[in-house]
Amino acid sequence: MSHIPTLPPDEIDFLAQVLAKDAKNYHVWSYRQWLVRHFSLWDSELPYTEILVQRDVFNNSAWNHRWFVVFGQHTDPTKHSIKKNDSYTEVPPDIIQRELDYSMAAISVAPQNQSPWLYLRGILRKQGRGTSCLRNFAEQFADLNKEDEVRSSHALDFLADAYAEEQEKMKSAQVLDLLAIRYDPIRKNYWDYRKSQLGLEQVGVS
Amino acid sequence: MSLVSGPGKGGHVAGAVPNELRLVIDNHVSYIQSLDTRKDELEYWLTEHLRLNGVYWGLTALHLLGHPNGLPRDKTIDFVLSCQHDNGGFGAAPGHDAHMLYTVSAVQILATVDALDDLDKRAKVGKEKVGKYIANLQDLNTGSFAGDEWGEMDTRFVFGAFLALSLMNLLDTIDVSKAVAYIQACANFDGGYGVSPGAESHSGQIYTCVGALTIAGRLDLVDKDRLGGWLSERQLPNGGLNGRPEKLEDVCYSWWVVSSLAMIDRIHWIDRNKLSAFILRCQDTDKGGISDRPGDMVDVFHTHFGLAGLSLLNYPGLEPVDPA
Repeated sequence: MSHIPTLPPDEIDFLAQVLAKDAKNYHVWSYRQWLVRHFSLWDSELPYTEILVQRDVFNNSAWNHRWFVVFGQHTDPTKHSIKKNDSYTEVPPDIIQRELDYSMAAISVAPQNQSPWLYLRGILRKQGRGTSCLRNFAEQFADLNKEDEVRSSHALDFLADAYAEEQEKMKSAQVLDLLAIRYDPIRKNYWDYRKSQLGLEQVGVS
Repeated sequence: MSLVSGPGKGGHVAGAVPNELRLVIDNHVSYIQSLDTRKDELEYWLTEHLRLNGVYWGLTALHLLGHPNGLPRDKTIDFVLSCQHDNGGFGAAPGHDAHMLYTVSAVQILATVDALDDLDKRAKVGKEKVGKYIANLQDLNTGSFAGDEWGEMDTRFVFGAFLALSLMNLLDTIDVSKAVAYIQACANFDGGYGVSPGAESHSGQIYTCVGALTIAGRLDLVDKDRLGGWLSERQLPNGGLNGRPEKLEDVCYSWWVVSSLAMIDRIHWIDRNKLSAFILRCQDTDKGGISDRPGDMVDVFHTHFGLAGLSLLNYPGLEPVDPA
């Protein structure tokens, strides 16, 4: 594979054509990533991911590609270590803020969309920050004072962590109950586990 | 073993009321046994490049259904051995090029019918050389494994190598810790794993990474809560599981997601009853076989993974299965 010295001229366009028909094709995306890395096509890829997310904000492959383009170029996959997520170059703070703003804007467009929430959490984690710094943002989509008007189970998930971080354990438990009983009951056991991690006294069986 | 689809269709289920759903074990057994008789169909030949995988899926499904002798043992072994090359690797069918995927299936089949020793007794090439074929596919720079001499890298091949070598007690012939480090590099921001570093988290690739870490005894490297949370989100309201966010449900994820959850002790994070009901709805209860989702044609691949998923969920009447 290292025998290809220059980028075949139509290759990126060709992949874009294929992705236009099958926007989440795993093999095409992984080949595109290889091309990007091999030929250092980092700068041109970000606008492309934005087009795809604009076409379909739910396209998880496009979100992953964005992460790859923004953060992946700072990670050398051959210099990995056993530790979690070792990148060896920092991403500047203005880029971080840009990414946070981008994902929050996407959430505002479609709050019940897992990809930008995962992206947002990923950035915060990378910065060593918890979720509580963005609790006001999340509360736009899930407010404990208006339980009937929750617009996003992912916002509830986010807030459960945010309240726990701020030691508002009862509030966190309330959010998790709302998920387990009403907004995401299929994952009841998972939400109950999260509740058990709060270290609260067993108040009652839900 | 034909990999043709049909004739059955998932969703053709007698007694479609949920509490009447049941696993039609005998019909699935007949369906699988019938697959090798369909040599007059074009699709039988068009799927020749997957034949050895197909035998593995059919055989394992029969074992899960409690019919371990459902396929003739000697013929099965003969077929497997006829796929072997001089370099120790196996192709998908006689005359097809050797590749990791079919080598792994070969080892799995022989292990299942308790014939691994036939490699030394009868095969063109013995166990050690099969092990060498696999070990030589490791890229000592990155720790990953190629599928064949042409160099495609994929975490599936890491898992395949670990699985096959551990079955043959030859795991020490490769650099396990380097491969483990490679898997670590495939860990993503959302808690999942992809086919290569930076690639999108995908339930199938997660299974291979977690499976490899299980075999290597390195599950300590997995953030189980985060991965478990991501995996539990694969369950859709209809009970079925998808492979990535915002994709359709597919019965095969009943294996890849559920076995991954089982390996990290979080199988209870999905709703088992809803998933079981979904898998059962994907059956053709008349003609046998399971499809990817109700309405589509059945095939041996989805039959195998649907049954394996049900086994992990302790569905009565099925043999137990090890998630790795």
